[in-house]
Amino acid sequence: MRKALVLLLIGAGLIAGFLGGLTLLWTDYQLRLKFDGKRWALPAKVYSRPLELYSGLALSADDFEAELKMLSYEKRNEVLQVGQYSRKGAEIHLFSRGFQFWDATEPSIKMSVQFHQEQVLSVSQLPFPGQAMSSALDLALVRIEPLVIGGFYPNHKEDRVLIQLEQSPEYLLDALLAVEDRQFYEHFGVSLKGIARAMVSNIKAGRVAQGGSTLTQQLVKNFYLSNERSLTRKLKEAVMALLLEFHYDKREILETYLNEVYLGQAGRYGVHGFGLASEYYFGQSFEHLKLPQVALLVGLVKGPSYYDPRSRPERALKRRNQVLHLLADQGGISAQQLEQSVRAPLGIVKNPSYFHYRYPAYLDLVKRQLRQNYREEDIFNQGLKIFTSLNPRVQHVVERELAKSLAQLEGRYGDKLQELEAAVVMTSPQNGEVVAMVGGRQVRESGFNRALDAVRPTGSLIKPAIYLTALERYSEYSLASLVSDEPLQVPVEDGQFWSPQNFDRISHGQVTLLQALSRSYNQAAARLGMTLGVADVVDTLQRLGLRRELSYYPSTLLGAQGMAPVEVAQVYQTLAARGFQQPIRAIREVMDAQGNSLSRYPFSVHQVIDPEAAYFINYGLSQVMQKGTGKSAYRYMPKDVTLAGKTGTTNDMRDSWFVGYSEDYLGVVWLGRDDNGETPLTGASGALRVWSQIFRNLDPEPLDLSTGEGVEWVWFDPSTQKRSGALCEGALRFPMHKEYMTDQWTTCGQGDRVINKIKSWFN
Amino acid sequence: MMKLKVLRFTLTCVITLAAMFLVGCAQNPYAVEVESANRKSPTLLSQGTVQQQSKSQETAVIEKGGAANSRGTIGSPQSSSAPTLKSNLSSVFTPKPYPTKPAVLALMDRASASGHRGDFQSAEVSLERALRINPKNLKLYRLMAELKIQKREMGSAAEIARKGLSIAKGRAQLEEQRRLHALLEQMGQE
Repeated sequence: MRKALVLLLIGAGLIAGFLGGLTLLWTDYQLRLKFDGKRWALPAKVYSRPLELYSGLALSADDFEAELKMLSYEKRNEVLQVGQYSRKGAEIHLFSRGFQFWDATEPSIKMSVQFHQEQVLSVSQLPFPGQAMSSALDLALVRIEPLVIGGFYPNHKEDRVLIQLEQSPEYLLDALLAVEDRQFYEHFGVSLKGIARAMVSNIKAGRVAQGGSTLTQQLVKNFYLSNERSLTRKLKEAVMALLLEFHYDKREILETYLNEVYLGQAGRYGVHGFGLASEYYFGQSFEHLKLPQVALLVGLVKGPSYYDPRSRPERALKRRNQVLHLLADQGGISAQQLEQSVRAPLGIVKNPSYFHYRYPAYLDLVKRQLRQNYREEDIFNQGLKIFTSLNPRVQHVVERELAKSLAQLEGRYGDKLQELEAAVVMTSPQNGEVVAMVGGRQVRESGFNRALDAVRPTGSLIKPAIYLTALERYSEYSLASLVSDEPLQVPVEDGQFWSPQNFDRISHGQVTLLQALSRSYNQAAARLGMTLGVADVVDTLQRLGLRRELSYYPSTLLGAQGMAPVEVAQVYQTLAARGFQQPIRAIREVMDAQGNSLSRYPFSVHQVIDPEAAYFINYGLSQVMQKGTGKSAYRYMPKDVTLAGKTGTTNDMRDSWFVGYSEDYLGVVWLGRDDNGETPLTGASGALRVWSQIFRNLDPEPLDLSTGEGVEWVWFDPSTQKRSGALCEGALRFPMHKEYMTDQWTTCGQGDRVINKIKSWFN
Repeated sequence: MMKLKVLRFTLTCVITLAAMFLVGCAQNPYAVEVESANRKSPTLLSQGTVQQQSKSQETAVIEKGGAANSRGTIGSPQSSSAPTLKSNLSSVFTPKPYPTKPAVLALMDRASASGHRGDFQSAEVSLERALRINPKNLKLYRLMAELKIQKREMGSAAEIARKGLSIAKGRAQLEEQRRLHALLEQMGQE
């Protein structure tokens, strides 16, 4: 009988033990899964382009200083240490930090950069403090480190500025451990001393006022558990903390803690981790924080909303100084440091710079391009470094000018502009790199990325494809060829007709291709397109780089089918690059955590349009700007800056488009409403304004329209389609293909050619 | 008055044509420079000195070419680029060499050093950086094309050479243009 009882007890014990063990194992499994997820969440870091400094670079001292501020260089009267700069008029001294790039390591250099009229005049090396150097040494080229513009994380949707332990600024770990967990390096996840201390003070207070949590316990709490204060939760927490300490070492736990701890609330998003908090409160990167800043962040751990330095600065100051005193008491800092730091202001930035330097639309593009080449788990592999071509200067110009010109438009149109949205894509035509991108008016908010995903009818933006298709048929068409801009009726399904109108509802009779293109006549374009064949025009678009399939409807010719701004950029990019197609890209290089290059996105081009045809279309698009629908751009820019571009307006003005380029930049601007509602804006009155304001501020290099070998400028009489003389009636100058030029001359041009010429010289 | 103008014009034309004819380079693309050069040197008899000058210039050109060859190519032994001797006179009027920014030169040097080490990837990075600084320097396209040949990426090499040739023709870059054409020819692409 007793034996049976014993057996039963043993059995029950075994089952309980088994179940308990199972629970433990399960908890353990869950814990490790979660922790590994977090720990290996060393983010893929995304960098902007590095600034290349050299004599002759078009860059003003102000812009350079702005770039240094972004990189949290500290302005001093005299440059003594790495990470400082000083400015005296047109000369900036700088002690760069150095950076490991994919191809070479850029050393930390103390240098002087001289500017002259918006240009870098010289870059020369200065002697380090204590370094023997007879005189300043001219430097051909210096690469400043790139700006971190974000990171990708496996388990988080949001960007987070993840940090590594080694990046910790001075005093951070000392202060943190002094305040939160003095026995961190001694305990096994749970500190009995701490619990005892907490219990004593709780009994004294008569309620649960203090938790004796170790950092490990805090971390566990942050991971899984709710905020309830119960004994079972405490117990669970303790078990998990012990397990965590069993599996991982102190370093790993501490690092994860630094990245997990809750330090504030930015709107809907929690500010987790010291990396993000440094950006959020001080607009600086974590590793550059100074003692008072470190103390404030450590103080915030206790209660980020209670001590919120933005809304409760006096509380925050008190708390920070408390931390400083504690640190001084423990001998972490000297009395002098304490005195200095206590007097320091909080130094909170008004606009969190992290949100300042956040480019969700651009990061979105980077992410998608990565996905084309990597598996998800590789993207989020530990510590990838992704070097992009984002140019922060251009990005800021785009953001600022977009906001400014939209405000101006709103001033003019008032309520009619409700809910107007916007997208901008900027590329560098010579290599197809995306240098800036905006996906909506709220440039800091991620969400619907209109630059990539707003597939909207393009209107006249598509027309250059029609004209290019014609101009490639050298024996049939030139810019001087005539096309009729008269009403037309194209039969479509069900006995219906498609009969497009011109924007001004006027037909213009016989016009040259050049006129039709630059004035954006719909009937001429539609007629020409129908003659060429819709399929051929769509084929041209696809050669130019459009991946999207378009249906061969007649209305396709006037841009009835949608394209996203980024696709428009791709198509025009090929024109701006004179017929050489390059996939537009945001990523230059991907490097693993060890510094090995994983994949390059190499320079490759593919010629899809003859140089002659490319010249004709570029010239045509430059006339859009000089004389046609784009000419209002020159209200903002000097007339001698050659530009090419095209407006686009869709039915009932639902979309306002403009694409334009100089030698060094290409920009696509779209304005419209997400609900596809009507706006009062045409391409010219809306998007072109935005584009012009942006380009004016970029000081663009004029488009180079010098002719290639196959092109010659001749006097031509479009009405007779014959060559003519300079002074002959109706003669205009056109670029023509040398091999396909007619040899028929007008009587005026031929008979009196020589005399006419001589006449023209003496007039 | 009008007649006088016409007369003066015709006279100028005749003199110019005659001068061009005498110098023997009526086809020379630098005809205008010939004219002005002749104005400076009073008689055509000073041709001897002109020739001497041209000789010394020619050697300078060769030296430059040689130097460019040792450091300006990406380790490609097959692309011999000894400058061909042109007519003495045209070399007198050899345009100023294309001004290359020190930054671009530095990157070219780095690229060729990497290339000689066999580190084509670094070489490519350096050339790309240089192209961002000056996308109109034809030599960069030539070096890039040579690099692609080294990497056995013939299609890519040809495209890049063509891209280089599509860039505005400046007299200063005629030599590089010629080399790009030669490169395409070697590849059987032209």
